[in-house]
Amino acid sequence: MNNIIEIKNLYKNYQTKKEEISVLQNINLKVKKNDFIGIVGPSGVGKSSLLSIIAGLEKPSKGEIIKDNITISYMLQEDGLMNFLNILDNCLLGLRINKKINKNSKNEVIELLTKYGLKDYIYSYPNDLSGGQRQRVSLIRALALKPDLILLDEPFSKLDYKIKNDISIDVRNILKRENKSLIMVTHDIEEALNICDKIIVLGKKEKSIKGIYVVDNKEELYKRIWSDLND
Amino acid sequence: MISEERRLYLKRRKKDKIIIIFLRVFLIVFLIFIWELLSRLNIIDSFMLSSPSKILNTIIDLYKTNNLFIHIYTTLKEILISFIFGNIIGFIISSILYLNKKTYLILEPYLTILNSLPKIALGPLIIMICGANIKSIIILALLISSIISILNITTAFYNTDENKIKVLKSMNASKFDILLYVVIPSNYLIIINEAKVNISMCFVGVIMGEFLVSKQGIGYLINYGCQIFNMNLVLTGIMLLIILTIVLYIMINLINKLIKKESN
Repeated sequence: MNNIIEIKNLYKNYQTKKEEISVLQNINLKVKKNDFIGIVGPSGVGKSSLLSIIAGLEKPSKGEIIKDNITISYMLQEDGLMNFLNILDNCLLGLRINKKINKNSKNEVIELLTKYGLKDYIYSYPNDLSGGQRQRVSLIRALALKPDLILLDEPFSKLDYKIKNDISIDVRNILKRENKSLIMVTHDIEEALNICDKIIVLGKKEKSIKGIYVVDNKEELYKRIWSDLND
Repeated sequence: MISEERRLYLKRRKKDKIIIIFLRVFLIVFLIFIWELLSRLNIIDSFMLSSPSKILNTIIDLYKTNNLFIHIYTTLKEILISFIFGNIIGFIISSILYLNKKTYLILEPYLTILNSLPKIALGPLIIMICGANIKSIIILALLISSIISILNITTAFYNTDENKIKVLKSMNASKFDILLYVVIPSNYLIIINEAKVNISMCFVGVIMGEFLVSKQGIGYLINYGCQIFNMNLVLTGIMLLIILTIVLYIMINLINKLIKKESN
């Protein structure tokens, strides 16, 4: 199967007034269609930077990133919903910016909202929704652009444990059903195991990939990733 | 059905409100009364400090000679023109400075210095350039009101939630899209608040301008009264300003209520 993304020898440094900070070194990664990849690592290891580079929001310092003519949507730590727009308009924002809005696309978004239990909230405002519902809207906003790949940047870190568990399973089901590929970054191993089929561990000392694991035996894998992270 | 405790609470609240309104009215009536009394008893110098009855007579005289509304109209017109232009200019320049960060970084210290400078000092220069007319008054008011709004609105624009901006960037939004879809709507309340502050700033600017150049307006009335040593006219001008301030204060409150209703 063809790669939709291939990262070759990628480095990322940040420049400050005092010094140069290296966050990623020699990253090599291939993402195939329908892959569900979780990137796990401690805070400050460069997970979000890697995602930003894949999304095209930041440039790598060195290395190459080859994308196979795909559309990418990004879902962030905070849902980033605009409080002054209703739920439908929030979901249509990307289409509006890309001038792809028409009656059909609007109906498709309404269909998505209906399909995922938000029919009654179409004309409500984000403040009327619970944390879990807001994340779901944020996901539908990402899906509205019909992306091939969805990037999730610690999307559930602000939610409490119970909702986090439910919504992570919910998100996996939605994305599988919509036939999307996924790369998510998180520092929560359990969350990554709940959603992803493949886990990549980023080491803080190495600033690079420390291990790649296919999710099978979750309990066993949890221990291995835990020991990788605390090495 | 409301509880007895709630009924008593509402009753007490209503009573307190009535007492406060009564005391407010009483205070002003009392002060006017004392002023008039002291003036009539020659305890205070009515030539220098006038008296409420003399001020009333001056207002009636101004009305009879068809001058009262001309002065009020002139001042209000100048406030309104500088208010509208001040807000438009403030908003447009802030947007440009947001779209072009380098320009903002270059201009920021100059704007801060210009903001700290007492604008009245620029009065003579403005009059030399624009002439002794309404243009100079409006430019002075604009300088007073728009520079602070440019600084405040631009700072607010740059402090917009980075997360929301990142969401839009990930949707391939241009800087202009970000300004239009996130930055302006997110700072809507700040822009309206600046407009509220601008009303009073324009008021100050217009009166200062009228002191310097005008032939009409309340500021002119006060200045002219001083020149001919007619303190009745000076205090009439000040009284008219107080009345105008009250009207503007009520307007600001109404705008405030509308904004609150809107944002709810």
